[in-house]
Amino acid sequence: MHLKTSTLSNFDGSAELQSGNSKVIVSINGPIEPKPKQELPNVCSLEINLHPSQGLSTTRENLLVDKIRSILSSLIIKYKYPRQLISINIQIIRSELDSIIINNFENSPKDLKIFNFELSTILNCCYFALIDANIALYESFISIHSCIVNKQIKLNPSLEDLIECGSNHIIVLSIKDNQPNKIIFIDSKGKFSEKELLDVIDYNFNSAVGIFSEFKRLIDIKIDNDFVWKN
Amino acid sequence: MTSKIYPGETLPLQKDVNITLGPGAYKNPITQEIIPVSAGLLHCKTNKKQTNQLVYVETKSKRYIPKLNDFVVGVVNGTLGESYKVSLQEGSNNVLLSFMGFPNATKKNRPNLKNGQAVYARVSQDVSEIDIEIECIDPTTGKEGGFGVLDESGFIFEVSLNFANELLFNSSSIYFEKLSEKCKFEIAIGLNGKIWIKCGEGMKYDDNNELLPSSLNDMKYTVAAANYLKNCQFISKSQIDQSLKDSFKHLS
Repeated sequence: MHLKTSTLSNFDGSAELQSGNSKVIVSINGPIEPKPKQELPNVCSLEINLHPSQGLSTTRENLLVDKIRSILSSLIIKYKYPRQLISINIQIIRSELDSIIINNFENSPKDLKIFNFELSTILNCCYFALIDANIALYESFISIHSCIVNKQIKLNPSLEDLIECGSNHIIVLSIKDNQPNKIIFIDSKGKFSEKELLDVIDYNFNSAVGIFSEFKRLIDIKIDNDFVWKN
Repeated sequence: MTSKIYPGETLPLQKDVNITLGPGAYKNPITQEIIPVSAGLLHCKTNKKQTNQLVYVETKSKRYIPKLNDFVVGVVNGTLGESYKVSLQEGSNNVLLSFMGFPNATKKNRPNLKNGQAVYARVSQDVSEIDIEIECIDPTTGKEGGFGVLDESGFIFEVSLNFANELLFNSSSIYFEKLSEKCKFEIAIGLNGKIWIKCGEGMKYDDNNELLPSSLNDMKYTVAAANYLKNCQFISKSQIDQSLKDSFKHLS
């Protein structure tokens, strides 16, 4: 996993994350003055734009944006910024999906399996960008993508794994004191039994500690860079 | 005591003491739990009597959220009723500077500010649900106290908010001491990250709005000083001398 923060100097916060073969850049401006129609009297509003690596955004991107919005609105302390706007721009720079062109994702079960392919990287990148923009969060969070291939659970599946697998799951966990605390969001595609899903959740809870320690290492580097003038 | 902290972690709070929350700490109104909300350096200070504890998280930020009694540099943007609209940062809501927010101002004797003029002011009202207000009066004396219009011979540039905080409040910081070895300067530091600086006599203009040749040297020094301060936020203290040298190397 490679992370660069504050890459875009004109934004309040930005992060560029490479995880596997996907590369995503997220920039955040906020809290800023909203348009009159966006203004809410006691909380801040969220504006999220998602740009795919190729072409224009389609219904797939719209659905992903809705998912991202539901996750981020439960984690950002919106009451701290009444009548303000937080604008989040997500650009997918590189994705394995580039190699195949899919016109309509909802058509076949095969397409559905790879529907969420970049979502996990996007969410993790959003976390770093929110930290960089100094937006108040209730809790830290991590997103884990896993799939079940031949009854084995595999983390960070590649595109081939997803096409072959029985089911794949994106789980967003909130982290408190280095331990996974709550399940914020689950999105599963494919055929699976209840036991398989519980197994996946168990597995992800166990691997969350290791993943978050990597996140902490990356944030520590960022903080050290931010306060370089103190040394 | 400083250590790194991440959102949502448990804070090292003492029991049975009064706790003061600073920036980066938040009390959840539902659970009544006190949590850090940003990732940065945690400062936890207890007074000698062990009765009060102060908690805050120091973070790097670029977006300014007005807080009561902060000193800010703003640019006049227009008028709204009995007030000037002042922009503290691009993209943020304008704040209001009342015509009465100047020393000795009356209904008849009001200040005359044009669009684009810069002011140094204090945040006098910070309720985020309504419009923020600033004023150019020192509340203890009722006089000017260093606030007011910043003249056009200076130069405004931006730094990150925590660095502006360091420059304004840390009296032991060495940045200005080093700068004073190179030139004479006047400075106004806004906690909104905007800094107004003028070296020597600053930039003077003639009637056609062209720079007078005599102030060319002062302009060069002003720009060099601004570059030096902007650069200082990305380097460690041991490199300050080198940065100062680099910024002023073309100047005699």
